[in-house]
Amino acid sequence: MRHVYLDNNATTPLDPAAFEAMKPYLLEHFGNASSVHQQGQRAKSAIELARQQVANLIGCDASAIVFNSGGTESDNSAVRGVAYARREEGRHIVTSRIEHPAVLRTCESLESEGFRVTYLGVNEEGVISVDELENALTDETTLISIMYANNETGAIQPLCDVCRLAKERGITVHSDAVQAVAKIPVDLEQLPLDLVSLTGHKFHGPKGVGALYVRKGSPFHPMMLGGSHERNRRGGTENVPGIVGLGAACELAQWGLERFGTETTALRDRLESSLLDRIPGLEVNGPKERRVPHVANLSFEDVPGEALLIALDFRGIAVSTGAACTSGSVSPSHVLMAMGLGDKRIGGAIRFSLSRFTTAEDIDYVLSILPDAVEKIRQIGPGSH
Amino acid sequence: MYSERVRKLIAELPNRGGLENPTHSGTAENPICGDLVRIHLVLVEGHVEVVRFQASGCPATIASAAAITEMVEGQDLAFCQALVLNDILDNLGSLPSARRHGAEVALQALRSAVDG
Repeated sequence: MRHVYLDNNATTPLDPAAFEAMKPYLLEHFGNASSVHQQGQRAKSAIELARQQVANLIGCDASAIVFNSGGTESDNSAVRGVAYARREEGRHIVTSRIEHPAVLRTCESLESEGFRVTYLGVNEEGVISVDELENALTDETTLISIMYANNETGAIQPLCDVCRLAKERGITVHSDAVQAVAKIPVDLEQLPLDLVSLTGHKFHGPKGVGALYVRKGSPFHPMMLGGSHERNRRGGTENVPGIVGLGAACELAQWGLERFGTETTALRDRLESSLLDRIPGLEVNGPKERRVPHVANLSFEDVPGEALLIALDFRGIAVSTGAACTSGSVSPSHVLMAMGLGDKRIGGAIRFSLSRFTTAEDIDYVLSILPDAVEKIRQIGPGSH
Repeated sequence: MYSERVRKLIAELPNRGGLENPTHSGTAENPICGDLVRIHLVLVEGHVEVVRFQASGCPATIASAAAITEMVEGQDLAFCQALVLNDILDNLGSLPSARRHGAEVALQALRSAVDG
């Protein structure tokens, strides 16, 4: 049976070239980068090369890259790190309802510590309103945290406008760019974000390693205290093989970024338009234009998404859903809910997320399986005959 | 998370759909999550000659309903009335504990059909 993996927003397979780059640092080059001897210095050199590779991908100075354990740590340390560093200036944070839980839970935690948080809504395409953001800003606002591209819909947020409003008011801006880096051009020379989260496993690097970009001079209170690693911004012995793998993944992504944009968009659009042609009662969730190339979020009318997921999985196709049943109750996607989509549309939502390893044959296979799977499930609907 | 048996039932959905002239029909639902199951039977001389199901909700519910249709097909009324939750769970190979309500809803639909 063919296996088609279209859940790349959850995680991606490790690129064999990144794995090859990591191998020596798992065995023979095991040194601690803080050590003065040759083993240590070899590890340190590898980390600095990786730092430059990450910086090259996002258009920034290498010294602004802080390695850590991944996206969740990046989001936690960015939001809390800025909130704490600027707490004497103000205690108001603005974020959105469609952020990753790593941002939302951190904001809720800060609320319990006396911070005030405004959660911006989104329109039916899953995009924040710049006017609503502007109206939310006060003299107490110290941080805006808005994701670059949404993980469920792929909607790209208007960060140029966010940065403009923030810079006029001296507000720090963080963006969770986990689903944007290595998927679309992210150039921090052009876009003046202050902090940016990224993680390796979303673009064929290893799991458990990521980075936080912290613009030089940006207020930042480190969360992980320990040694003077990462220029005192994140204590803890560096995950050298992981960092090397992350660096290699960044370099591979940079080489293939333009091709990824054109080829993946073409595959995604063919998947989407072919399904829209063949299956009635299908709706696209999210914007059709301003979204990352690799995401299609579709709602199948009168189809429980989880059942469709399992039917596809049985045929070797991996996707994800917009709602899950947990202990007898349904937990709908907070992103699709924020977009104002109804329960039925959320319950029938399936996310297809492609990668640079997705082929035309993969899409053909999905197109050969999916319409029949949908039809079968619709035949069991209580309203069917 | 789900057994191979559950995955196969969901992919193939045996005995799916409604039935024009059932001799017995039963419906059950879980108002909390909205799961709903309908079981339709045609009994001839006390035996299940035709069985169909309709369902909406989580995969556990749908798979349980499909499994029940396979279990009761060709059986007599007493067999249908004697089915208990563990029979369905055994047939499915297992269900995550948080999803067992699906088997309960499907069994209630069968009981509603056979008990009238």
